[in-house]
Order: sequence, then C-alpha cells, then structure tokens
Amino acid sequence: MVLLESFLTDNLLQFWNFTGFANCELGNIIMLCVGLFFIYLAIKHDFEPMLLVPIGFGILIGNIPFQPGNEIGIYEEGSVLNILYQGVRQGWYPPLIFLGIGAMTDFSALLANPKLMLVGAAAQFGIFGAYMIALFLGFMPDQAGAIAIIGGADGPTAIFLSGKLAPNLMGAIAVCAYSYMALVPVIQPPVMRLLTTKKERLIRMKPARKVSQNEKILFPIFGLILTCFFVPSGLPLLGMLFFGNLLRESGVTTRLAKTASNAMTDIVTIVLGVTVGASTQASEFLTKETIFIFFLGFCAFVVATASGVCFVKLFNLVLPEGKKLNPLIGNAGVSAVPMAARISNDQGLKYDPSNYLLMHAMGPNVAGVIGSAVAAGVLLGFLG
Amino acid sequence: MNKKGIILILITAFVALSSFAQGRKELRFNEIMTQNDSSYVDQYGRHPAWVEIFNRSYGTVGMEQMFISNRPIDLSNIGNLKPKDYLNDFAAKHPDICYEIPRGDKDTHVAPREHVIFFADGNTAAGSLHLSFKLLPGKENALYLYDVNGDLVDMVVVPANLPANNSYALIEDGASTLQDGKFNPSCWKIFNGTGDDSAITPGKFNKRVVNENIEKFHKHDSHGGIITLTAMGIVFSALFLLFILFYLFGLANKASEKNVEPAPVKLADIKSDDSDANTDDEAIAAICLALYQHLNAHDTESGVLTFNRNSNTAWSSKANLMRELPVRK
Repeated sequence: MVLLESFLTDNLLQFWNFTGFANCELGNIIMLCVGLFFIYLAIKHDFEPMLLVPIGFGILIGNIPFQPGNEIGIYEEGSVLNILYQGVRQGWYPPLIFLGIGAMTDFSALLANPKLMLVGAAAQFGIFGAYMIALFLGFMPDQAGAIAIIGGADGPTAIFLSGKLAPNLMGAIAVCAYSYMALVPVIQPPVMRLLTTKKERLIRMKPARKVSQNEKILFPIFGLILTCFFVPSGLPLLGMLFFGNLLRESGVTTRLAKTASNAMTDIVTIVLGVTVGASTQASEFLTKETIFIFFLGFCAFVVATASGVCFVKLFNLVLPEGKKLNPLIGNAGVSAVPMAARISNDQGLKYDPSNYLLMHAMGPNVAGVIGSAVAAGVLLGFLG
Repeated sequence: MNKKGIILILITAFVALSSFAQGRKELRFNEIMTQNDSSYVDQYGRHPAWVEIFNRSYGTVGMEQMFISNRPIDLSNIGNLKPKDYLNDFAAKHPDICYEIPRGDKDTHVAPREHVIFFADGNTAAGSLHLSFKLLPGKENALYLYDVNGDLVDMVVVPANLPANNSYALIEDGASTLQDGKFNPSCWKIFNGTGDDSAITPGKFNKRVVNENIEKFHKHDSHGGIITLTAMGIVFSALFLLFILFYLFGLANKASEKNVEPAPVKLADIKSDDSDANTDDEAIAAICLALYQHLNAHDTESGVLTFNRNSNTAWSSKANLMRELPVRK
C-alpha cells in the first residue's frame, strides 16, 4: 500500500513538474497577456487582423511554459515549430510574401505619374533617421540597421533584414513593425496636419492618365534590372516582387498570378505570423532592447511620414502651377499598402469632401514598397 | 525521351559533376597537431594527432575517394594506368604512406565554409576519419591531399620544432599555401593557445571572424551620417532612374496614342443611356470610397477594397460596344 502511494506520488510529482503550471514564470504571463491583447486588437478593433491574429496566437504558442528537452519549443532543434521557423531565420518567407505582393499590386497609379517614385524614395529617410537614433542609443551598426528598417513599414522586409543582421532581435522587430503598421491611422494624421497648411491640403491633383499594357509589362522587367544593378543584395525581395508583378501584368499567366496572390500568400502569411509570434519567448523578448526597439520604431514611422510630406512640399516649389502635388500624399511613401494611401484620402476628404486622393496616394505607396526593399538591400550591402 | 532531352541531361550532369569536382579543389589543410596529449579527443576519448581540413567554397564537398598521404606520390611514370587506379593500388599497398577516403560516409562530406577533422592514428578500423598512418612528433611531417584524378589539391609541411599540444595552423582560414606547386610557409604559424590570435581551434576558424564592415562603420561613422547620405543617395538614384525611364515611356505612349486615328462613332451609340460603361478606374474608386465613407462598409478582409467590374462582354451587353467621343483638339 505504501509502495503504491509512493509510486503514485512520484508519478504525480513528475507529471506536475512537466506541466506549464510548474514551469510558469512572470515573463510567460506578461507575454500571454500581450498575445491576448494583439488578438483583441485584431478582432475587436480590426487592426490588421490578417497579421495580428496569427502573431497574437503565435505569442500564446511560444509562451506556454514547458520543460525543455522534448523537442517542442521553437528554439529546440528538430521540433515542428523550429522547422517552420527556419523559413524566418533563413529568410525564405519574406521573398515569397513579396511574390504575392507583386502579383497583387497594380503599379498603374505610379506609372501614370512616375515622379511619385521620388516621394516613395524620400519617405525612406525614416529608416535612416531611426538608424542614427539607434546608434545614439548605443546599438551596434548591424543592430541599428535591423531596427531602423521598421521605418519602411514593411513587415516582410523587416523580417528579412533583421534575420540577416540581428537574428536575436528579429522577434521584437517583427512584432514592432506589424504593430505600428496597424497603428498607422493613429500615428500619421497628426504629423500630416502639423506639417501642412490648410491651403496645401486643398490642392487638387490632375486625374492620372491611362497607362498602357506595354508600360505595365515593361515596368517589372526594367524595375528589376535597374534596382538590382544598384543593390544586388535586395535581389531576393525585389526579384520576387517584380516577378509577381510580371505574372499579373503579362496577361498570359493569370493562374500563376492568382495562386501567388491568394493561396500561396495566405499560406506563407499564416506560417510567418505564427512562427514570428512564437519566437517572442519571454526570455528573448522581455528585455531592455525591446523597449528601445518599440521607441525607435515609433520614431521611424514619424520621421518617415514627416520626410514624405516635407519632400512633397519641397517638390512643389519646382513644379509648375496645375501640376502641384497635395502634400497629404507624402505620408503614403511608407509602404504600408494600402493603409497609408487610405489615410491620405481620408485626410484629404476632411478638408474637401470631393477631393479623392486615393489613386494619387497609391503611387508613392507602391513606390515605398520598392524603396524600402532597395533601402534594405543597401543596409544589407553595407552591414551584412 | 528524345535526343535533345538526353543531350540536355548529359550537359546538366556534366556541369553538375564539374562543379562538384571544382569544389574539391577548394579544400585546404587548415590546422595540424602532431603531438596531442591533452587537446582534442576522438570518439573513443583518446588524444591522437589530428589534421583539420577546411572547405573554403560555398558548396558542400564530398571527400570520398580523395587521398591523403605523408609523401609526394609521383604519377608521371604510371604508364597506361589511370591516376585513380594507381592511387587506389598505392593506398592499398602502402597504408603507412597513403590513405584513401572511403565512400559512403557522410562524415566525409564537408559543409560550405566548414571544417572536418581527421585523426592521424593509423587506426582505420575506428572510422572513415581515422587515417591509415600516424604523424611523427618532433619530426618534420608533410601532408599531401590528392583528388581522384591524382591532382595535388593542397600540401603542408609541419616543422619538426612544433611543441606538444601546439598546432600548426593557417593564419587566415583557407589561404592558398601552394605557390607554383611549392609549399609557402609564410601563411602558417605555430598556435600555442595562449591568446585569441593563437588559440588552438580544431573544427573552428583559426582567425576570429569579425564583420569588418560593422567595425568600420562603428569606428568611422558612429553617428550614421555617412551611411544615411550614401544610402539615401542610392535609393534616390535607383528610383530616379526608374522615374526617368517611365516618364519617357509615358511620353512615347502619349505620342503613339495621338497617332492612332479615333474609331468611328455611331450617333445612336452616343445617345445611349448606358453611359456608365466607360467609367474609368478612378471614378470607380471614388464611388467605392464614397460608399465606404458613407456606410462604413468594407470587405470581410481588412485592408482590402474590392472593385467589382461589370463582367458583361461585348457579346452580352450593348453598352460594351460603345466608344469614347472623339475630342477635337
């Protein structure tokens, strides 16, 4: 009888030690709350649900406490999560997402008014502004570059670059990038209002011209050649982006374009979101660096928005009357597509209910996607 | 399979094999210890002498059927024999001189930029990574690496004065030692394990890997101003070139549109009530957005606005037959 009791007690004790309750620490609880908060924001407030639901749930998965050694954690070699996580670590998923983005994106708005490409380039100053602040805060150049790319407002690019330059910070950087992308409607409008006068906000832009099919087909081909000759290190992202776009615009690969833009992107987004979320284990995530990263991410978004708006204002000084740009489209130079363009439009409508800026803002918006990929390539070339 | 297919496969196989063979030329002796009393241990816990080989290429290299010998092998007078057959025979007859790396062991496949350690203990029964000969402590030891064709891939001459538990190692991992077929000792140094720059590192890089770019930027551009200016310049240049190119394409496109004669228009069509058939994307966008603003309605997915086009064609809808009014300029 005593033996049986002892046997049972030992087994139960062993089982207890195996459970999450026995292994739980304060960090796990905090991260579980963060995960729940993300899911709440996504479902209740509709903040980027396609991203925040997988990431939020991934945070829950990654922060369930367990006894290490059973090949279940994301950092344990051989576990399922670890195998899926290799796509993030090795940078396989971001180019696949870019393939889907390319297949989804219509560059007509940009081609109709190619000077908007320069607005997309100007907004990338957010990345380098954040880079300088990060250096000032004591980060090493490679870490600073990985953090600064948050200013590109492009999740896959941020994951791609941080995976190469600072893999240990990638979880925090990815979560930060996606969080701020969801918060674009909160961050950008005050900056836009602060930097523009009422008269500027009322500028009406000429309707865009119609873009021929030939131009649409030539764009991905020449876009790839020109940008990648400048920054070959951006080839994985830019190559896939332009390839996806050619699938869309060629008119003869509709099935491939549909698969790339729907099923494939959805699958990769699910795996990417969950694994990035799961990589934020409390021990890795709850650090002083993470707080700095969130602060720097905020700075990057503000600087990117401001530089886009200010560049349009400067550009207007040299543009003839009638061809001037509304500075409210400057914020769209960050590549949060199409959220940033919508904000331009919403702000424009506030001051003139018949001034629709959406299609004009889509130009710098898609240019921002190219610009941030080029900027990532430059940083990788310099610091990789 | 047709002839072209077979030729294509043969060419592909040839290229693949050539690149594989090319990889073998990238193997280098990297670090050697002739007397090991307390350093690296083999899988049996013993301390044999060891030879580290580094794959300096960016592809995996299989070492099977390569030869490691402690003397140069003269292949100039082998008659009609193939070098491979001669070396096979030689290794079988003189195991105290030459070791043929056996087939079928994945341990002899060296990953890109990785190292493999061979134990020079004369005990081939212990595994593929155990050489058939020993190194002699306190004496000069030469090592030669031959590929399957009998070409000398690399060699090293370890000096007799190498102390016990010290290693003779390349200063820069994977540096070329052979110059005009002769050994150049200037790339090598005795590592005594007393500091970072002389650490004994079996299976690891001899020189601590430092990202020179990062160090350089950290030192010379501590505020990030230079990188910011340079990088912004590059981003602007790339997009500016695209702007110029597509500005020119746009002009060419406009010019070609002007040259096209407008299609004849029937009066009956112009008077038709289905005038919304020519609605352009911008108008559709404006209508959708107006509805979005007014009704706060959106698609089931956040961040997506769907513009549903009229799916009718010229076959099913008269409206689609309409043409734009010619504009007199």
